[in-house]
Amino acid sequence: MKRIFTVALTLLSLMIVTACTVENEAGSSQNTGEGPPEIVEVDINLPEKMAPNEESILKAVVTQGDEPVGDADEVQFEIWKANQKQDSNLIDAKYDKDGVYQVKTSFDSEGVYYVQTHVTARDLHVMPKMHFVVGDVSEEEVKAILEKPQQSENGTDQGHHH
Amino acid sequence: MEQTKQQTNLEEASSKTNTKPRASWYQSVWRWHFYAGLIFAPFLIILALSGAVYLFHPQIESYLYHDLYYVQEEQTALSPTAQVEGVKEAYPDGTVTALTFYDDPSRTTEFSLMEKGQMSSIFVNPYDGKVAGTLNNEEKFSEIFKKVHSELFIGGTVANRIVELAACWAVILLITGLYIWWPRNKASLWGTVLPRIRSKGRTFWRDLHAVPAFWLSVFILILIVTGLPWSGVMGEEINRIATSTNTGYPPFAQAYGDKPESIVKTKDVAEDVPWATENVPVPASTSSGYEPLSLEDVSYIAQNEGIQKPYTISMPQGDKGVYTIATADTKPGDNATLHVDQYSGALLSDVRFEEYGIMAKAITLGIALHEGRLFGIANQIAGLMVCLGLITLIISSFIMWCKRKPRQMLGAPNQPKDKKVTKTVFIIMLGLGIIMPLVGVSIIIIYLMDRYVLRKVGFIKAWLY
Repeated sequence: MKRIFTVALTLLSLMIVTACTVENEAGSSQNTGEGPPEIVEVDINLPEKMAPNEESILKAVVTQGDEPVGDADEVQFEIWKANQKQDSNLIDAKYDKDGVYQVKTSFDSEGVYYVQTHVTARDLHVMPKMHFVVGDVSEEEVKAILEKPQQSENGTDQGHHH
Repeated sequence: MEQTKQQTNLEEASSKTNTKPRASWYQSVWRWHFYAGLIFAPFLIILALSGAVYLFHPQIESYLYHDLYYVQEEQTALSPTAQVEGVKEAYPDGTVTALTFYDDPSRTTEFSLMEKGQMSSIFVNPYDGKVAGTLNNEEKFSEIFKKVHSELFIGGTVANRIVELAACWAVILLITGLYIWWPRNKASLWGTVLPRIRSKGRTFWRDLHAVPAFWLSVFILILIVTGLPWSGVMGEEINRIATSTNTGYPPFAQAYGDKPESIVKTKDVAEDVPWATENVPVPASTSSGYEPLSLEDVSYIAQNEGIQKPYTISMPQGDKGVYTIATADTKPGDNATLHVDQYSGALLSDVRFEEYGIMAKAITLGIALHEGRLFGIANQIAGLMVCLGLITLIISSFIMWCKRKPRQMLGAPNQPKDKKVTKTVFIIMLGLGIIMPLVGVSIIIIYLMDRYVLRKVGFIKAWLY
C-alpha cells in the first residue's frame, strides 16, 4: 500500500517536472530554418536645384543588401507641398537601370515640398520620405514651414494608398 | 470541553497508528500541508479575490469608463496625426509615447502620455479630436487589481516574490493535499468525490474542503502554472529555457538588418507587447536625411500587414528609435510584434504567433487562459468558479482547524514517530524546492529557524509544535 502512494507521489512530481522538459525537446527541432530576407532600401536622389515650371527628374535607388533591385513590383512617388498633403500627387516611376527608378515632374510654384516613395519589391514595402525646396526659399523660411505642425487633412488619409 | 475531547481522540488515534510506517507518512505529509496552508492561506485568498475581479475587468471597465471609452460614431474620423496634435495642444508638457486603436468604431483612441514622470491614458474622440477624458495609470481599475494580484498592492520586488512563493507553495499544498485525500481504506464515493453534506462538525467541513479541492486541483494547478511565466524567479527561468532551446521567439527575430549597437529589449520601448516577444532585441532605424514617417503611414503598414485591432503603436525613442506595432491582448493567434524603421517604413523585425516556438506558443495560450480571454465569457466564468472554489476550500479548512484547535496550542498534527519517514518527506520537499527555487530557499530558512530558534524558546515551542 505504501508503495502505491510513493509511486503516485513520485509520478505526480515527475509530471510537473517534465511538463517543461518535454516541451523543450519537442520544440528544439523547430525554427532552425533560414532567416528573413534582407530589407529593401530606397535612396531618394534629387537634383541639387529645382526651379518652378521646369522639368525635374526625381530618382529612387532601390537595393537589397548590395544588389540593385530591378524587379520592383511597384515604385510610386507621392509629392505634395508642405501643409497640403491632401492635394498630393501620386506618380508611377519608370525603371531606368541599376536599380534606379525615376519620374519626371515639374512644380508650379516655389516652396517646400515633400516626396515620399512607395516601393513594393520582393514582398517588402518601404516608403521613405524627405523634404526639398523648389526655387529660392531662405533657410529661415524653410525652417518656419517645417516647424509648423504638418496639418493633416480631416479624413482617414488612406486615399493615396493602394 | 468538546475540543479537548476531540483532541484526545485524535491523539489516541494517532498514537495507535503511529507505529505503522504508512501512518507516519500520512502524519508527516499532513504536517507539511498544515503549516504551509496556515502560512499561505491569507495570500491565496488575496490572489483568488483579486484574480476573480480582474478576470472581468474588460466588462467592468467598459461600464466604469463608459464616458471615456465610447463616443457617437460619425462618418469620417480624423487622421492619427491630427488626433496627436489635439493631445499635444491639450498637454503641451507631455510626451505621447504610444497610441492604441480599437476595432469598435465607437471607441475612443487611447494615447499614452508621459507628463512629469506620470503615465496616463488620454482618450480622444477620433471624430472631432476632442479629449474625452484622462486616467492616471495607477488609478485604473485593472491596474489596481493587477497590482494586488502581482504585488499585493504594496508593490516592489519583495511583494512580487511573496506572491510567487505563495503560488509555488500552493502547488505543494495540492500535492500534499491529494496525498492526504487519497482513499486509504475501502474507497467510498462519499467523502472522496462527493461530500457527506448530512454529516455534522468536522466531517462536514473536512468534506467541504477535501472534495472540492480534489475536483478543482487540476484547474488550480493550471492557473498556477499559467501564472508563473510572469513571476520574477521562475518566469525568468522559463524565459531563459525557452530562449536557449529555441522554443521562444524565433531566432531570426534579431537577425534582420544591422545588429543594434546595444541590446534594447522590446518591453523597454513599447507598450502592450506579447509575453513571448518582450525580450526581442530592438533594431535601430537608419537615419540618413529622411523624415520620420507619419502615423498614417505606420497605421497603413499595420493594416497592410494584417495586424488586427486593437493594436498599439509605440513611438520611436530618439533618432535611431523605431515604431513598434504590437498586439497582445485579444486572441493569442493574433499576437504580433513589428519593429518599423521610422524613416523608411521597412519592417526591421516581425514576429507573429505562428512563428513562436512551441514553448512560447504554449505559454501565450496559457496566459490568455489565465486572463480569461482564450474562449470568451465561458473562460471568464471557469476562472471565476476556480477562484470561488479556492476561497471556499480555504474557508472550510480554516473552520476545520478551528474545530480541532486546542485553546492553548496551534493544534498542528503530531510529529510522526518514524524519523526516517520525516526525513524522506523532507527530502522530497527539497526536491520540489529545486524546481521551484523560492520554495527551496523558504524551506531552508524555515528549517534553520526551526532548528536554532523556534525550538529553543519555551512558549513558542509549546504553542507551535
